[in-house]
Amino acid sequence: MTMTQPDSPTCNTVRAMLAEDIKTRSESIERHLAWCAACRVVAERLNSAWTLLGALEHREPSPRFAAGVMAKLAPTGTRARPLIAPWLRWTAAAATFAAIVVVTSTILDRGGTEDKAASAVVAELDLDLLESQELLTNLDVVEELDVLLLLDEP
Amino acid sequence: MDPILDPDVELMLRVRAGDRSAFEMLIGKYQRPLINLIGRYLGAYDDAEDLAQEVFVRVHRAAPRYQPTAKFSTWLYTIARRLCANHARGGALRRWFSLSRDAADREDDPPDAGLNVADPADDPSVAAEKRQLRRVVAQALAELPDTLRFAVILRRYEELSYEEIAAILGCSVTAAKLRVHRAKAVLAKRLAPYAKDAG
Repeated sequence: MTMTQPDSPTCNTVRAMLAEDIKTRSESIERHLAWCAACRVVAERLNSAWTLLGALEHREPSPRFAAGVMAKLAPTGTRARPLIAPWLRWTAAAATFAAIVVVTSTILDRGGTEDKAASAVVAELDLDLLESQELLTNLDVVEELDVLLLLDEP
Repeated sequence: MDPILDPDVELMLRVRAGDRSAFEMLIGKYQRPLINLIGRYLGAYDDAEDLAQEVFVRVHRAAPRYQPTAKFSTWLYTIARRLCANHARGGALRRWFSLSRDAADREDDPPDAGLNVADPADDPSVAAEKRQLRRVVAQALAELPDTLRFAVILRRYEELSYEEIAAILGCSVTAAKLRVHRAKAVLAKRLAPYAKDAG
């Protein structure tokens, strides 16, 4: 239930302001919380959740953290090249798309008894395209492989 | 804050000039917050150190083109956010990291490491309760939508201003506040049964 008092913000306003830290709350918000039990419950739940987040421990980095960074940076001259050059990936994707457009339009032109065979061809090409798209979405992974190689080095 | 006044920007400018010790100082200062930020975001620490190292690798590679347009930490956390998002999206990348870890590392880091830490002085039942609470909190965080999770972690653990959070998330200050508020509301609901432990 929304409650108001003269010169006091509404419950909705107060609950919107509760996102702020306690130390930054205005006096009017505190006054509202002093008499509005419903908003007080909301505030207490938010504060409890905020406090509970402190249950997570701080993890210390391993002593070899900095050395690990340097190891990843060091042998830039021996970095492996990406498995597939970026221009080749895009060319392959464009070629696949063009092939699908051509085959699809050819099939549509033929129609009739060839529908079943044509559908199979389209399905196969769609699969190729899907696989290509999957490759494209994981380009970062391919590019990161060089780091993997560096990590494996003694 | 004027980026020029940020001492870490000064260090980064030295890194740009090829000063290795300045880079090591930045690593020393930010390795811990980065690992914890990433670990909390991912809900586990298995890959956090690898990813944190990767953040510094990106920083170093970008150094020759570095321009001090913001606080160093804002830039650093922006890189971390992008790497985390890529990591979360890419199951293949996750597998890659798990393959890259050697057996010794696995023995050092039991699953869920960092969320399972218990004070040796604790009574076993109290320690078990604490572990359970950590799991619940980690789970509640992990279930938040991506943008809410990062915002609330930056606010709660890194104690960043809304202006900095907005810069890192690439949104307005109002949107950053809204994300933190929404995250708090969701967490309050999920953690309500454990609220008695908060005091």
